[in-house]
Formats: sequence, C-alpha cells, structure tokens
Amino acid sequence: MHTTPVNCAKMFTKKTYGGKSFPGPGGRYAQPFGGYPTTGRGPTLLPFPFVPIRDLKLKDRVSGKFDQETNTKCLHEMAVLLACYKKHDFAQAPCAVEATSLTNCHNKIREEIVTRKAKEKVGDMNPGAKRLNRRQVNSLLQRYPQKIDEEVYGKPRN
Amino acid sequence: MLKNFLLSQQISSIGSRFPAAPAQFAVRSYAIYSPDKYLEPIYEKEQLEEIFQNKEIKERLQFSQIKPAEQSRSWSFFDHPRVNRLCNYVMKEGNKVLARNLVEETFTRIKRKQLRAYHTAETDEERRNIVCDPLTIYLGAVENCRPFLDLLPIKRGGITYQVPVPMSEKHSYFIATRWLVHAGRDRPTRRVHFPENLANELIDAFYGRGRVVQQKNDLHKQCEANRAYAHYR
Repeated sequence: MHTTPVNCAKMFTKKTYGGKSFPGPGGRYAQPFGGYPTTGRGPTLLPFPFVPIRDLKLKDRVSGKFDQETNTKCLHEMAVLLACYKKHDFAQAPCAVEATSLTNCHNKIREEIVTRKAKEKVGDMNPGAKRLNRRQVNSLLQRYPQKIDEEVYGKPRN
Repeated sequence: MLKNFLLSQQISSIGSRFPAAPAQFAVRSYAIYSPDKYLEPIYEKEQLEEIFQNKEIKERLQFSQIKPAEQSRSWSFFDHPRVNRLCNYVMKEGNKVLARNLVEETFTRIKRKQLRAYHTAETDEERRNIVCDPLTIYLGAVENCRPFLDLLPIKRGGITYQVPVPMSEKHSYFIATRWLVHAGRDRPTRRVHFPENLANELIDAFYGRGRVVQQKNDLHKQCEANRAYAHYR
C-alpha cells in the first residue's frame, strides 16, 4: 500500500502556523505550549509553564447527595409479618394484625421524614450540633467563602 | 438588510391576505398548581359540611388558593375515587370515554355473572356467600391483591440484592389495581373480550383465588426468601 510521506519537521515548526490557530488537535490551545500539536509526540518545553485551568480552591458548597441515611427501620414488624406469612402459607386473613402494624410503622416513619426534611429546608443552625446537614453546611460556607491568593497561585486561564 | 425587510413585509402582507390558523394554546396540565401553594379541592359533601360548621377551618380556607376541581370527579351516587382510578389505569392514549365504557361493561358482566350464580345456587348457604354488588367485588378484589412488601434492588459491594421493603398504602393500591388490569388484558383467546376477562379476574380475586392473588403471594414468598437482606436498605 502506498502512503504519502509526511514531513514531520515542517509540521512542527513554529513559522508554519505562527499567529494562526493550529489546524491539528488542540487548536488554538496548542499555541501557548510552543506551537506543538497536542498529540504527545513533540518534546515538552522546559520549564513547563503551569497554567491553572480552574481556581485552586474548593467550591463554597456541597451537594450532599450521598448523605442519605440508610432506612433500617420497621425491620422487626417486617420479620414478624414474614414469619406469620410462612406459618399460614401466605394467607392474608390470619396476618391482618401484623400487616396493619407494619403499615402503621411505615406511615409513621414517612411522616417523620417529611417533618425532618421540612426542618432541613429552613437551614437553621443548631448551636452545639456535631452533625450538620447539607443546608447548614452550605449556609456556613456561603457566610465564610474561601479566598485565593492570585499572586502566589496565578490567575486561572478560563 | 433591506432585502430581509422587504421579505418580511411581503410575508406579513401574505399573512394578512390568508389569515393564520387560530392560535393554538398549549394545554396546561394540572401539574402547574404546585402543592405548596394550592390546596386539593374537596368533592365529598359531608366533608364540606363539616368545614362550613367549623369556623376555624373555614376562615383558614377562605383566603387560600385551591386547585380547580377535576372534570372527571363529582359527588354523584355513581362516583367513587377508586373506580375513577380503575378507569385511569384501563385508559390507553387518553381515551377516557372508552375506558369508562369498558369499566362499566366489566361491572355489568360481574353483576350478570353473580346473579346467574345466585339463581343457580341450590342451598341458602351458597346464596349467602354470593355477593352481587360489583363495587363491593372490585374493592374486595383490590384489598385481596394488595401486597404489603416490595422488593427493591439495592447495590452492595458490586452485587445487586433484591431487598424486601414495606410498601406504602397508596402504592400498594396502585400495584394491586394495575396487576388486575394487566391480568384482564392477558386474555386466553381473542374471543374473550377485555371486560369479560377482567370481570372473571375480579370475581376470582374477591374470593381469594386466581392469578393476581397468586402473583401477590409469589411476591411475598420472594420477600420471605430474601429476608436476610432486609438490613441492607
């Protein structure tokens, strides 16, 4: 198979694409690093300039997505109901009392969750509380945002 | 620019000669009434009378926003919230008229079947067990098919466990009704119509037999088998 030879030396010279955007991968972002394509083939310029892409600080908020409690409640009621079902060959009538007790327990916990969430939504701080919910953490972080010394760390590129 | 301007003029002049189709307003769903601002409307007459008598509740409700009443609801003798739900689950592609007709037909067939059974029964004891009210049969069937536990897939250590969890009352009613409707749709032959099949399923479920009760028992059996995973929730 015949392939056209590629002049690599010509491709990597600064003059060819100086001033204009580089046609290869990386585009115009390839320019600050000496005009090499960002294919990883060219040698790295030393000292390599460190350009922070984003602020070198954490954000002033947390998502709290993974702060969900495992709901291991009503387990006793459930075990009792399952034992009753097994005993009576899964008939419904003999286990009515156990079923209602499980339903009541479940309803109670659902109500508790609703009231707790309504409380959390307000985001009030409880003095002396060791465990904070995400709204409380966020309100604290917003009140005391982080600062960054740009003279030391440089300005972010974007 | 000028060309565009002229073009737009031309278009507008055409528009004036041929009036556009009537403006199509987007159908605004009931969901625009957010539950934190609007209260649910009350259909039950007895509840309304209670509210009118209680001065405190009346004053509180007087100045609060309430959702518009649903068209499909009323407080007539024939209206029942659970039957309304059944119509909605039977409904396909928003064809509520057909769904209501199918449910009515189902109830008619239940009545006919039960009356036939009543008149062919030989002893009084048999007759006592035969319920002829379709509404009672439907409600009892749903009550018999209602599961109390559900299986929730939960991932722990890369393995998905089917964890038994208690089911909320509302969801269990939904599941039971949906199972019944699906059983009604799964007909033995095409000659058996949907209302006929659904009527059979409802009567079976009312007397604690049939496929849907078996389905509920199967779910409970699986929950029983997986009870060791209950603390994973």
